Amino acid sequence: MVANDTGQGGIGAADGPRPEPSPLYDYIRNLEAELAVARGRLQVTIEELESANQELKASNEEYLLINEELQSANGELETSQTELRALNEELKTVNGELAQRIGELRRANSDLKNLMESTQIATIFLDNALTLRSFTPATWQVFHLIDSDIGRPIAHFTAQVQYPELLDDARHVLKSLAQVEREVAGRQDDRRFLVRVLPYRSIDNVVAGVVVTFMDISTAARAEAALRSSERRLSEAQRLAGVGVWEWNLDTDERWWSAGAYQLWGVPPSGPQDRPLPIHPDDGRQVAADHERARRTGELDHEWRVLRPDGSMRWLAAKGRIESSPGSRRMLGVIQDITERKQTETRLKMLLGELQHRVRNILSVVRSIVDRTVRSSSGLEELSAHLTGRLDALARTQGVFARTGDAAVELEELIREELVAVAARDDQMSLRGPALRLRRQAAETLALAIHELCTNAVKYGALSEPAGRLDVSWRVFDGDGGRRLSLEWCESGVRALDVRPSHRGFGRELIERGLPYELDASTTLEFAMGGVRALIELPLSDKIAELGAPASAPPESGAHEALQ
Amino acid sequence: MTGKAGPLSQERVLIVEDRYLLASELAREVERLGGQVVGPARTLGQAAELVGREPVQAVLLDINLDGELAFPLAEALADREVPFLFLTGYDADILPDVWRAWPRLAKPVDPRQLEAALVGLVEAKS
Repeated sequence: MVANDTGQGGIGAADGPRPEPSPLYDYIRNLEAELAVARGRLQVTIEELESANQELKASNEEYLLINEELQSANGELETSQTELRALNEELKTVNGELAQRIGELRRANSDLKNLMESTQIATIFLDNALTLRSFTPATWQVFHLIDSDIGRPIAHFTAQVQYPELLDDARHVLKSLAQVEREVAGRQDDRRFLVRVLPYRSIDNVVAGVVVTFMDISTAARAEAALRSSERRLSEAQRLAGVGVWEWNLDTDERWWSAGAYQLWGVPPSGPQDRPLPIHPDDGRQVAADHERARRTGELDHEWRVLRPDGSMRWLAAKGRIESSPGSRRMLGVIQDITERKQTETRLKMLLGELQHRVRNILSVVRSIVDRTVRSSSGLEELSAHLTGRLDALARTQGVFARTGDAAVELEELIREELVAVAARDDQMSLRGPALRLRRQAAETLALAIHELCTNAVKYGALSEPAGRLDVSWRVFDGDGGRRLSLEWCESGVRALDVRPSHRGFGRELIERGLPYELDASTTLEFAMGGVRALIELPLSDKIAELGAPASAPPESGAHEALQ
Repeated sequence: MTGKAGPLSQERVLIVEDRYLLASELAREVERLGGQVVGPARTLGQAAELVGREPVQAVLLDINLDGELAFPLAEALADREVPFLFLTGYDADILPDVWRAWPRLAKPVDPRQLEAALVGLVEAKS
């Protein structure tokens, strides 16, 4: 266009209209016409161009506008995209957490399943309608359930335990939400179960049924029962045996006594550290020494006396042995009242002493009788007869005492024994006198004297011939200084008493010297016409006869107690 | 009771024994050994009276005098330095501690032992 513009202006301005027609002119005229046409066209074209230009401009502006809008929309899109990205991140995180939770849940589920399967506690889960929801394998001991039973009412099943109250308990728990606990026995065996019925609470604390657990406590129950009866037996045995139990901690010196032990000490149960135990003052040092030794040797075995607060004195004995466990040394033992044993020991010792004394004394008497009989006998036959008779008399008295176990013997029995021994007939003799119990030594001596009178009567006197008669009578009377016994031995009907002992025989010596010496007796022995007459009178002291209360103790025992 | 010639040569021996047969047997023995018998006494009272009244060179003392124990007299004799020995059926372990080691003859008394013991008693005194 610029070129067009420039060409047009150059031609028009430099050249005006020219007067000479010529061909060239025509040509130019043509050209000019053509040019004008061209110019008009150009003008139109320019105008069109301008208009198009204008339109283009407007379009351009619109485009600009749209462009701006687009830009703004783009910005918004970018923002949205950022937000979406953030959202996506969050979702990713949440997703991760969820996956973790699911993992935990799976583990928890697995734990629970393992727990249910491994537990020895039979557990059943019931819903609100008391139908079976779940159970542990251990439930087999109580209900024979299989997996397909889930969903059936529990009332359809028979329990292997005596528990008819199960449904009531379950309903009660559902209603009150309080747990029920009871002990039930097996149906056909001696098993015992501890049953607990608890409400089943879901996580959001809604009660969705009950849980029933059956814990087999048979072993524990049996052990407990065994322990109880063992303890009862032990304590009963302790009580019966009068035994107490004690424990002594050698490290801390703490001591523990059972109730029975306190009883033996005679003090009320309390910490023995609080009060000194009532050990007899004379035994305190020995007891302390025994304890010291026990610490060293690990064994205790000793006896001591206690002076109980009530004033009584008792003998106690303790035995113990150390029980070492890591960290502590303790001595465990028993304590026992041995007072009776001690008393028995003392009494036995006393009786032993009494026995020694009697046996050796009687042996001495026997020996003396033998010596005397030997000295006074003229021949073996006489010696044998006399010795046998005398020893038998001695033995008879011993026998009476041994037989009756009494400390005294009836005078009449004593005389009768001697007469029976020489076979005297009842129809030729009489025994008359009050009951009188003679003590051992007096009886021994008197029996020997009576024996001598008997043998004399059989040999020379009233019992030697059918017509002879023997009357023995005695009486007890009050004389000077107390009661006295007077005994008369009276023979009659003896035709000829020609054998008057010229020497002092054993019997005569016994009556005339032995009885006065031992019994303070006064005696007369007469060989009168018709037979022998002997009169023996003696004081009835406490040592000679049992006077008054027959239960009084024999004097020997008093002496022997003094000996202790 | 007059003593003859013998190891006891007129020594006065008190016999304390409650059984007649044993007392007379002891007396016989003492006399056989040449001693003079004092008593015999049956009770502690009689014995104490004799000891207080007559000179005594030795005492034969039965421990159990029909239930009465002779230890009080033994103490009195020991105090007065009168030699004595126990005649008893008791074993040593049943005697009170103080008398356990004292000269003692067991019943029944063997005459030979009695002689030796009596002679020893009198000789120790002189």
